[in-house]
Amino acid sequence: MAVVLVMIAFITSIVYFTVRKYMLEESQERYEGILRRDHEEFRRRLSDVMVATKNNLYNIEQDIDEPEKITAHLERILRLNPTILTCGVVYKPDYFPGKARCLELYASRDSAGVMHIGKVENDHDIYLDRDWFKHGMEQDTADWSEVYFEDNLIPNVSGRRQLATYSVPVHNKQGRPVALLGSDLTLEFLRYEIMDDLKELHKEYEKGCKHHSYNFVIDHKGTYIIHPDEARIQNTNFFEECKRTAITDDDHLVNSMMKGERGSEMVDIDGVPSWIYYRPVKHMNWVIAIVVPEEVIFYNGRTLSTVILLVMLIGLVAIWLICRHMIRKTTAYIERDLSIAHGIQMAMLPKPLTANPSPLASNFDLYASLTPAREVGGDLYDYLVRDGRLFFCVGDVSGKGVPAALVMAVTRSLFHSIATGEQAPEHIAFRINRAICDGNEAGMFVTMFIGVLDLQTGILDYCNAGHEAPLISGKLLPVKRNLPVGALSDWIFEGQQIQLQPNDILFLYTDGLTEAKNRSGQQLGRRYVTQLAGEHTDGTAQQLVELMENEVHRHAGGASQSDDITLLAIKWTGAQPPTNHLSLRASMDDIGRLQPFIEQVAAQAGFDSKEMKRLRLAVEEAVANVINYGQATTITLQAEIADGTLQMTIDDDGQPFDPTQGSTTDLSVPPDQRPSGGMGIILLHTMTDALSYQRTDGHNILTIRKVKK
Amino acid sequence: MEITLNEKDGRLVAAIVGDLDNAASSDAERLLKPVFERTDCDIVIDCTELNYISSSGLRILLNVFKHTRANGRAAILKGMNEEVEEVFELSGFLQLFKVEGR
Repeated sequence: MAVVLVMIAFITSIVYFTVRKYMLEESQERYEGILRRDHEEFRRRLSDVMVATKNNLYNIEQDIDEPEKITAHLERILRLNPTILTCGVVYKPDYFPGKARCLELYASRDSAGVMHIGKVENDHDIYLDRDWFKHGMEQDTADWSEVYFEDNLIPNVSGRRQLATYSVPVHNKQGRPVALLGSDLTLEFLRYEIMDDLKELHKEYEKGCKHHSYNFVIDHKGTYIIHPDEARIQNTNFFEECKRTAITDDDHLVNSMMKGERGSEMVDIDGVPSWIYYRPVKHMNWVIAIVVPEEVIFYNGRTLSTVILLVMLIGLVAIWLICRHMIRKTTAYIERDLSIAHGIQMAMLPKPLTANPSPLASNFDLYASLTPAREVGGDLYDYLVRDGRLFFCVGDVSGKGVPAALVMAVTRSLFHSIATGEQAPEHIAFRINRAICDGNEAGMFVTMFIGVLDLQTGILDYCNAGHEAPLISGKLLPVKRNLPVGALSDWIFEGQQIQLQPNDILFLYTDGLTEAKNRSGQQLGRRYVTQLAGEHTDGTAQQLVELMENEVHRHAGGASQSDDITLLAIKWTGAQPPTNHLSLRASMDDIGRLQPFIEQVAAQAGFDSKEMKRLRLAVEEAVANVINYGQATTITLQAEIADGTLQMTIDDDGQPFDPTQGSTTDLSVPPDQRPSGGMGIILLHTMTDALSYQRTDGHNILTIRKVKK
Repeated sequence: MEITLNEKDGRLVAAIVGDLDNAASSDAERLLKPVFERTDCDIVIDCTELNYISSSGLRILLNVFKHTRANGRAAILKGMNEEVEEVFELSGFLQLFKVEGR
């Protein structure tokens, strides 16, 4: 995150300074362009006045002695040159003897554009001591006057005009200056023109700015000739204003202006930081300048940088969204795989036996639950019933996640296949250990508790391979210290034995239960689990497991589960009462249940071992026949014992078949030359004393009779 | 049910322990696989600790017999208890196998 922030700050400053530089250059070009145009306007106007005046000088000089003709000339000059406001000729004093001392001829136009011509004759020296007159006559050169205000330029037409006069000496035939020909240029006209230029810029570039750009013109002394603040015109002096401030930048500016240079400078003007662009006016000692507040220059830049940064941020957000989407897409595959793996792993575990009593045997009750901390976990449990024994285990693979899950799957498969053949838990542990150690590069091991409960006697054989000691009715089961499975390939596991009492409840768990933490990191604790199990020995296996599940959930209080939790409870209700009834699925998987049933029934009938085996052979052959050929779903066996005779009824819902009809097998033919099958029927006949068959309601009912010898 | 295989006096001895019933038949087939890989010796089925046999067990032993005969070797039974021998006799198997130790 910090990296991203630094990057954004870096990019922002680059954008900011680049835009600023660009804006400064751009506005410089813009305002200098305006300045150039304004200057051109000035030069043209001034030049117009000068040219018009000079061109008419010859005619005026020719007719200097005839005032009427002069008036006509003046009128013509005025008419042809709209730039000139007034033009006039003033004579030397006493030029016309016998007339008034001073004579002034003029043609003028008022603000409405109406022309006035006239003359002023008097004896007062109204213009004789004016600088422009003295200067013009004495120096005998054409020149511009200082800018001045004239209140009553035209007699009887009021109005204050700001003027500059270009005057040319008029010579008589002898070549002596006798009068001045003067043309007035009004500055208002120029003022409005240059202001209009800027007004357009105000609209276009300076909307929303507090200060706006403006222009001003000063004369060689620094006095304002044109300025938007009319009060300053002819009254205040730019140079003096600059010098009054303590800043030296504007002093440099003043020097540069006085030298007639052009340029630009960043200075505070009237307290507003501004760029000033300036250049001298040709023909005059004036300086024309444009003042642009800094705010104006960067106002558009600010908008631009904001837009650029906004676009950039939107881009970043878009990239972020795209990245997030892609990461999610990728992780979705992994999540899907894990969720499938979770399903496979859960399906690998046997179903908890919810029915009570269990369908496997009526004298025990088992319930289990496994809650992985992640999608897949390394805990396992398994059980199976074989030959009247319940084989069960609980295990915890070292580590978590997928590697542990793989070892868990292998371990469970090993347990299931080895427990199908081995009887002793320590042998089962030994063989699982060998298999896991073989090629165990990762060094993973499994703590395991393996138990074998004889359901008839309640004798529990067990082997604890480094696992938590289980609880038996709330008391710790004493366990020997074996290594975990997978740790050392030649470890010899030690088994133990204990006699269960009827209604003892065995509780097995993995350390995920005792080490479950709450939000403040406190563990549920073995002592508490032991105490709780001790208080609840009366309930079913399911009740105990669910009690522990609720307890661990309550304890965690929303803290995330850090380890897999496996719980397995087994309640043994005592020796199974003798039964004369057995129901089997018609599958080879169930045929193992036949032997204990027959042994028990034969014992009831008082058969010896030999007779028991013969009975077993007969019944097994009949049942195997139904399973292999009958397409039945269920087989039910019912035994009745009376007067030393055992009668066994075998009922199945398969295809009709009567085994009492005997076999087609010819016993005189050697077995290897006979067609396959049929052997079982012969054994069935041989091993029994009587057989009967009937077909009732879609069921085959075979009755076997065997008499005690 | 368990089966242990041993070589003794140039013969392969398969000792079957426990009950060779329907439930055990698939295990027995698996455990006897090495027997079917040997073509160079006689096979002894040691029944000393064979408690019980059903027709499915007989079927497996018949296959052992067929295998030895195809290789010109003998299949030998030994140490049967009374009940097991009865089943062998009934089924005619005693005609096929040589019987030792009687």
